[in-house]
Amino acid sequence: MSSKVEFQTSTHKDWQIFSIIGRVDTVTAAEVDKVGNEFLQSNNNIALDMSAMDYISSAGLRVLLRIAKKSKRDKKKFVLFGASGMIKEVLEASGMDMLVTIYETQEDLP
Amino acid sequence: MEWKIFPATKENYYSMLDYVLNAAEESGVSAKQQISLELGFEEVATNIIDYAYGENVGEISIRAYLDADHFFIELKDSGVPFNPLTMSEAEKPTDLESAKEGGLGISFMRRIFDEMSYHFGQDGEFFCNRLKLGMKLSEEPKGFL
Repeated sequence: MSSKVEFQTSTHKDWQIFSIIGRVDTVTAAEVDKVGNEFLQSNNNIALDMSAMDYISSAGLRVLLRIAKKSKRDKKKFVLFGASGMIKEVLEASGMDMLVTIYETQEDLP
Repeated sequence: MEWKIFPATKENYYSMLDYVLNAAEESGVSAKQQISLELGFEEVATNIIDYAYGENVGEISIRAYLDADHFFIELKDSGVPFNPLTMSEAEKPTDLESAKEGGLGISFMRRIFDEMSYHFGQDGEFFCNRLKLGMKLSEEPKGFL
């Protein structure tokens, strides 16, 4: 079985973009947690790209919440963009959209 | 309707999911509602995988089928008695510091399944947790949750 989740990094304006491609579920959450925290350690203006994310469950949301909390403690910027369909709905249902700044697209990043 | 038995481990999660989604596909559940089913199924399957058997590896029995206008998933395990339906839901967080990690799963389940029942009792030679979850099929579901 091919990998269910992949990661890409890039930059846009002053932002370091961390793209999660594929699924963030009970199986892949640990890997997303590990790779996401490594990215967090070496960057300060982090924009998480969800435009190529297919699926996120409560296990995935817990990982995002932990990364967002750690960013705040470390006085780093952490925003999301590119959420649509089920990803957007899950973010809204969990209240995550009230805790973290969410932009529509990469172009909307300030 | 036969039960399909899986080792209750994370390595087997995608096999369990495939089994449920194949049954849903064959029953004519829409692609959109299959995503809802997946969200709900992940919550209950993960609970069993993570907590039912402690350090031991146990089994999880699953069956999934259409009955009238509902698609049902039933799960059975012989681990510690646990009724996930009594878990309290997460309150909507107001700020990042106080946001809790728990309680999201049950609030998703309540949104997805309009029929949920739990029973603990003897099943053959073992005592089992039995959970039955039903999702009403819809031509045009409002959303995923």
